[in-house]
Amino acid sequence: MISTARHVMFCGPTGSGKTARMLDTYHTLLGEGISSDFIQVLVLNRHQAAWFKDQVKMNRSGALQVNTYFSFIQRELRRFWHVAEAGLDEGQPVLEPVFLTMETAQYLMELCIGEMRSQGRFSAENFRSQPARMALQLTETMQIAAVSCLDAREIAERLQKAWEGKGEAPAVYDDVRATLELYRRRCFAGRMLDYALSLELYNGVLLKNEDYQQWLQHKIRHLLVDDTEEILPAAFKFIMKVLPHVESATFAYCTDGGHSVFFGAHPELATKELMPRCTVEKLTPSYTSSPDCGAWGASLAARVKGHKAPMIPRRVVMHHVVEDLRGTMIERVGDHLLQLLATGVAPNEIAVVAPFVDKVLEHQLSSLLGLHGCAIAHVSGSKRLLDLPFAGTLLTLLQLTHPQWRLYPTTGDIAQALNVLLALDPVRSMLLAAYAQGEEWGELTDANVRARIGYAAVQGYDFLRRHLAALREPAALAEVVQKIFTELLYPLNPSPSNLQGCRYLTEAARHFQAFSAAAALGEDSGWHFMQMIQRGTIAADRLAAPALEGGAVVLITAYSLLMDKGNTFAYQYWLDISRDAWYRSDAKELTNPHVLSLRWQEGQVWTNFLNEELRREKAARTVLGLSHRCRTAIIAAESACDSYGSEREGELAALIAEMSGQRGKQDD
Amino acid sequence: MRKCLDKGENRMIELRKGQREVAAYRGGMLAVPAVPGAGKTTVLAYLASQLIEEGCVGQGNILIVTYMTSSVANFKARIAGFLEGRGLPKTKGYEVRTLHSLAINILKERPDRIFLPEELQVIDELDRERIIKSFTLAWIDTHFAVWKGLIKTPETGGGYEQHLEDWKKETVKLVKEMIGQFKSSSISAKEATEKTACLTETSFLRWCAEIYGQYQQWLIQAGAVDFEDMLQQAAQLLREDQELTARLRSRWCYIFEDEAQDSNPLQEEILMLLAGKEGNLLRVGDSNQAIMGTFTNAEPELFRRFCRGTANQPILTASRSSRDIIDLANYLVEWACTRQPEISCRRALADQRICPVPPEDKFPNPAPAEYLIAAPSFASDTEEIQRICQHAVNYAAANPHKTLAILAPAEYMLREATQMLSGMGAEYYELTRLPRERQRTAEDLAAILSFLARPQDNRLFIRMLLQLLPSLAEHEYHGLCSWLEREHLEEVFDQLRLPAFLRKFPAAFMILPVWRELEGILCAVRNWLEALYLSPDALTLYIADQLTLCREEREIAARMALDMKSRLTQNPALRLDTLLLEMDAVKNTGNKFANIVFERRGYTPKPGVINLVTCHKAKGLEWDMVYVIGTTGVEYPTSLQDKIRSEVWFLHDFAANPAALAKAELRSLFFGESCHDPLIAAKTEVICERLRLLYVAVTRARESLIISTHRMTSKFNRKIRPSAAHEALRRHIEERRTRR
Repeated sequence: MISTARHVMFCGPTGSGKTARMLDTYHTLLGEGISSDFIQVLVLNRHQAAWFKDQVKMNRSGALQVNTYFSFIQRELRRFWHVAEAGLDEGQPVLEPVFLTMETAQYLMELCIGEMRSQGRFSAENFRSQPARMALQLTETMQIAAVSCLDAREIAERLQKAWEGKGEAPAVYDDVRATLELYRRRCFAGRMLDYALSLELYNGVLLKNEDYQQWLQHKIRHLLVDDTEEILPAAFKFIMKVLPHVESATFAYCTDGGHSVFFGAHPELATKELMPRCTVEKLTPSYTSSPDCGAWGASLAARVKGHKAPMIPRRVVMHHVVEDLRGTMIERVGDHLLQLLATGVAPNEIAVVAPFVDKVLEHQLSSLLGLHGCAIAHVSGSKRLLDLPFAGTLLTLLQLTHPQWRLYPTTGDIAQALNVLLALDPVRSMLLAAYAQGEEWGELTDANVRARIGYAAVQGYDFLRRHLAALREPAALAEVVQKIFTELLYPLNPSPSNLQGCRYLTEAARHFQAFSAAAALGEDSGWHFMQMIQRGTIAADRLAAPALEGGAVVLITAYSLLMDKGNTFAYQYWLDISRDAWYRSDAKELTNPHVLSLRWQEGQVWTNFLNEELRREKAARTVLGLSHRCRTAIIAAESACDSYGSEREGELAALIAEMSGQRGKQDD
Repeated sequence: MRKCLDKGENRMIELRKGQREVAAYRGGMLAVPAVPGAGKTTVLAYLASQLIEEGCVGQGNILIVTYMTSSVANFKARIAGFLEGRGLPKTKGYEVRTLHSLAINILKERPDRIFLPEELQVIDELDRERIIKSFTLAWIDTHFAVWKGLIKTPETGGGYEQHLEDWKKETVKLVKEMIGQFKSSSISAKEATEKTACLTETSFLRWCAEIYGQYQQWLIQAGAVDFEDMLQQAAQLLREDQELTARLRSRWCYIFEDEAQDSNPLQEEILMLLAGKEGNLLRVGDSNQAIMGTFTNAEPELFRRFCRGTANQPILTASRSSRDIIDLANYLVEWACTRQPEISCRRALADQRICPVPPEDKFPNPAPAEYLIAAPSFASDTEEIQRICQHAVNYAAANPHKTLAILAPAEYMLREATQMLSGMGAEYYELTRLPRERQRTAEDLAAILSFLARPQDNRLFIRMLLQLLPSLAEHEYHGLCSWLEREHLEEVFDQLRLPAFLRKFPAAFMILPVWRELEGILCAVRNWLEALYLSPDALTLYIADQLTLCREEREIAARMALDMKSRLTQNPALRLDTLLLEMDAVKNTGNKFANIVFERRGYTPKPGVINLVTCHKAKGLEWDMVYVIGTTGVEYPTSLQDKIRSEVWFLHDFAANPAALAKAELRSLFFGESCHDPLIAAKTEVICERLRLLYVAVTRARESLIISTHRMTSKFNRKIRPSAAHEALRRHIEERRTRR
């Protein structure tokens, strides 16, 4: 019997059925005739939003209000822009804001960093970060501050005061302050909102508006919030605002979660503020791990934190691979994996977990398993846009149709484009590309080249030349990109991944156009668009790999596995456990999520002790969380030397070896 | 316990005098001066296992710091062997690191503290050299008049243009060395530029400081560090973060340093900070084997000073060499200390004599029934190499179970010896900085990728084929190669798409012995061309899968792929054809990594194979028969009148040793230390170090030793004096023979 008492919290470890109970609650509400319009569901990420929507069975129409916190904010800002904009002093009013994507936010931040560097900032001897990395950190810094309800203008001061060293805090914090100020000014002036500024505007202006509050009370009558262990302070603030007025509120709290603390999550808000206001229903059995795995994980987690813990049955760690070279370690893992598959274990019951999944790991495992007809799915991976032939061709053609940008594709780029467009082999493509570049896409008069590439290719080249000339007519960026795609690429029947890549580019171009206008970049937006892609703005050229369903062994980072709350495996391989990456600190050179978080005390200093303590807590949470997603056994693997030739020895490997009492031997 | 089972070596180890005392170490600061062959790896490994067994390390580990990757593998194997012999887990309780690894480990503990990214971009020695060279040449362009004014050759004189080119090379060398000096002395670029601004425009130190500033600026812009930066920043972190240092002290409760005579100030500071004033630091070294000072930042005086100021436990017994070899080595020490013609150079070698082990020792000194010790002198270098190589060939044939090596003071002599041995059809192995066999993977991949970047280019095509199939270069395949050079490659690959029996290649070529293998390669190349849609790093891995590579070679390929990935991350617009411009750098990364992974295998000389190695590289190794060639007055000067290599003879006399002058100026300006005559002081150091190099060479021999010299260089037809040290050894050998 589902309780619809006023406030309920389902509390339990991974796999205890909390989300299922929430879904039941939702269905019960629908069953009682409540429209989905009045039920607001907040989930952790868009995958979960999509999953939840898929699971809902409705017998009448209605919009499903299932959002992440950020998409909810965006929706509200769009709807009530006229109210939110009133809170902005600078800039001209607009009909609607431009919501920056991660790419455009970072690009703008990079431009600001470039300006600051040209003024001599960020020039300290020790400071060795590249602009792309700096931009990523500064945008993340702003996000963390925003989700922690910290005013962006206080970021630099907070970091400065937390600095441990003697004497004056380094000038780099002043540089951070100046850069963030410049960025905020440009964003607000152009009515551009990134994640952080959206939160700032929503919480600082919209949520405080009485009319809007009234509207919220009318609109949100039932609230369901999943994964409150990952709750952001800003989201919590919102929940506390609506909680007194809702007819029912249902929460889920995972006792072994809290993996996004580095992003500002504050699990204590759920346990100390929400839980006391709810009827707590504890769900204990874990359907995702065996008691042995769970207990073993708890014991390991305790040891990672430096506490004493009981020994646990050895049989959890089935095997421990120890090799000198990393490549050999991966081979041994592959061999063991194949043996496991040969015993009848389904591929999708096996996860290969690493702190980072680099190309070498992915390739080597794929090749090894591929030889035996097994597939591997790199779930947390992403593909570079530029590696997709059609997307690369689109970008090449874009450059060729805009010679005024003075961005010249390489001969290799042109060859690839010809390979795609004219189905020419690589040698002929290169021949023709070299000719085309040399003759500036003039008519193909060279008899030798004509003879070598063949008649069909000559015709194709002529056609392409004429088409490129036509595309040189002035037009907006998005229009040109669309034209190139629909007129030249789409008719070639691209594969699904190529299609996805081109669509992504088209969307990105459309958004960039709007962003470029708002940011008053001054020059042709296309030039900036190409700069964004070519200058290495981290997220600009990535395309999320679609998750494969069944039939493949999963290759995944620890963090991705933990954040995909539904996923569990019978067997887990933990790789590179000798690497310090398993004990990674969240503090970086320009940001520190702990210093910017709600729990940071005035006067506190970021010390080595604190750093170490939090590193261990994070590692402990990780190993506990992973073990709770494991039903049968874990296989550990380490190498003495990493792929860069550095010696690797880490505490985690030693702890696992100690607990399992074995290293390099098969278990009985 | 004096005895211990070493399971790794599968034998009972019985410690000797000196070793026993070191094995009794339980804490504090201890200096262990050890003679060559004293078994310091054995005793340190033994001690480590002892401390672990007794629980002295508690929750911490013993940290062993060494300077070479090969030593890391060796130490680990030895300690694991002892631990296994004691019934303990093989990998628990210790960590072995090169200094490079240690610095990275330290920095990764708190990179945020000093504003470094956690994934450090470390440029290697070759990149460092390339960048410094580029800045130096640009500096020369803008300071040409001043710079060239130091050349004493008249501008109209013969050879002036060559001297300009040579002076450029020397200037690059100087700048490289001085940037290293600045960094190891913890002098920042800003400080260096500011303080040297008042020096004259002909001051070498000022030149180097200016270029140092530009170089550091480049590193900052590129977000990169070099090795010295890493050491500097590791030291800074330890100095500033007391909590971190305390934590690392708990983690590394004992520190053993190997080859301490090669330490530099920063390295020493790092280890001292890690150990702490009351800490446990054991430093093993041999001042008489300090041979790195003139071309690295190593300062042998640091270990000597440590020995003077701390408890000492020398190990003077050694079982490596026969008594006669030991006697010769000891004579060299005695001669250097008491009869060296240049009195100021009599401090070159510490008066530390090697003692043979007691006769009852389980592993006594070799006592071969037949052996050879001689110090011949030849009329010319050509004759010397020819005769020595012939002797080595004959020795190898007569003693197939013995190991042997030819040690040369410089690589140019080794090259000549290689050619000689090749001509003789002898089996030899080059133990150079980068043996040819290790370069193969990187060379193969670079050649393949270069071709794939420009698949229409016949020249790159042929280069690739010759790399993958060296036999194609043979004379009988000349016609085939000419055909491949001319043929339209698209047509070649068109043919390869057909089934084998339909392919229309010239019949004359298809019956050649090499054709089958060639066709196989061409088919592989065709597959690689089809995979050009892959990103360069993925393509590299794909190609590597299809080459027959051993375990280490696959790691090299993986490393190259990761390097490419890193370049792509820095510059996503990079394509394979633009990556071509950086292919040398990618290849160098592969080669550098090749050394790392192959050195982990360790080195075991193969009996009957002639090993060719420089005296520097020979340190730590041993062979039954050793030839030390080229012991001339140029390579082993003993007098201040002798010419030395670091002197640039075509510069004016007052500037003949730019590095010496710059270093002296640095010490004076930044540390207030004065030097009466830096040119003399530098020459003295070189003489001392070369004497130590000779000592190292002599002590590589187990049973037989030939130390040879020559009296004329064939290339320039110039007379050369043998080294006075050679003469002394020759006389001693003859006296001993006469007495017998």
